[in-house]
Amino acid sequence: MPAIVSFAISSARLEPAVLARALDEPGAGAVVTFEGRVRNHNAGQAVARLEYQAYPALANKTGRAILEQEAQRHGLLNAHAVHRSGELGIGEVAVWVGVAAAHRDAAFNASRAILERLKHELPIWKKECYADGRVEWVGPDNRSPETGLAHSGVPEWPGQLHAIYLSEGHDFRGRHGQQRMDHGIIQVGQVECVAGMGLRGDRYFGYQPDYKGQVTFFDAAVVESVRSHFKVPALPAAAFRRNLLVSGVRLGEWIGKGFRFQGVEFEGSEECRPCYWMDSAVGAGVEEFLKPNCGGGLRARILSDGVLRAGVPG
Amino acid sequence: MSAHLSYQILYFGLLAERRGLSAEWIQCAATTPAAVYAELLAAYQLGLAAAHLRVAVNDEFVAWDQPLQPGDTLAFLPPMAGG
Repeated sequence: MPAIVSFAISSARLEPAVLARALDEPGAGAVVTFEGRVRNHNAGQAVARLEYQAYPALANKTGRAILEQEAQRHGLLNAHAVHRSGELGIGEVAVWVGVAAAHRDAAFNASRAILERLKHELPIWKKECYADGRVEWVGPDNRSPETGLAHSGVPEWPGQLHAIYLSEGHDFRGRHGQQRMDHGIIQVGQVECVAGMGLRGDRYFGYQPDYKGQVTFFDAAVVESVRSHFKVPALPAAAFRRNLLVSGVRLGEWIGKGFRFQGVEFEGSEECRPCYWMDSAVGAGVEEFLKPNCGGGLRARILSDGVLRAGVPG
Repeated sequence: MSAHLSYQILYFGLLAERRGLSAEWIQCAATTPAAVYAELLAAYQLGLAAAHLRVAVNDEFVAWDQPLQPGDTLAFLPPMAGG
């Protein structure tokens, strides 16, 4: 027999005694209820109240699906839960879970599993209003509200990655007074970042220990302005021989700073200064044109392993 | 030039605060949630990377490359924080 389940988002105060009546069931040898209440402190700060904002249509479906799945998994007789929305004062019940089962193991385990899933999977967001008047959106389990990850102190780049370019050999480096080489540039949809090494498949991969230019970022807006200023609308972005074509980030602000991009951690090391080869690679005057505002791009070290994908937002 | 399509966008939590709105209609040429979010990121200082968001279309969780239909309602969901 399938369990009886119900889930609701409620803007009204929750009354546990009333909610628990739904658990009365002659076959139930074990009933477990849980109340999550608003506490007057969090992470060392005095909390005055909380505010929950829900996406009701999706939260109702999601909450019900969680209860149905856990009821079936644990063989419950019934399972009910309610989550508050709106403003809550200290001591108010923010979430209530109640389950009934034939035996205690199922009831204890299922109530815990349901609560944990509601906390992380329900489309609902929590704002803390502190005693000193500040308000702040908070993430799951006091993690970052932006990433859902533990606060690492490393800011997230909001930019986009448009293209990834790799070249397996050097065209210009070490070739002063000679002709450039002509290693092709390949464009790839994704690339593996290896901490301390570089981009797998690129000429600078493992080039030197702690090398400053394990990866280079280039601003797509600079490509656009070179195209229009030098009247070369068809100039490929790959001609600049930088690795990662990005937008939405001021590259010059990240010299000497750590940042996270698509889950990978980097540290900006220096401006990727344009050199005289730029004039032969792209056109006369381009070297000068790129000098202001870190126009030549940003060189960076890779601090954590990961994969970057082009064409997806940040 | 591709035709522009209309979508309704819902914002919640930190994203609603950053955008200064809880809902709006937009016109754009994008045909996947990933491409729509990229346009929003380019236009506004949202500061939340797609890698950490989930996306719903017409009140169902979907993949970022799900093809969109004109008139679809999209919601970009910051990390959830219930309980």
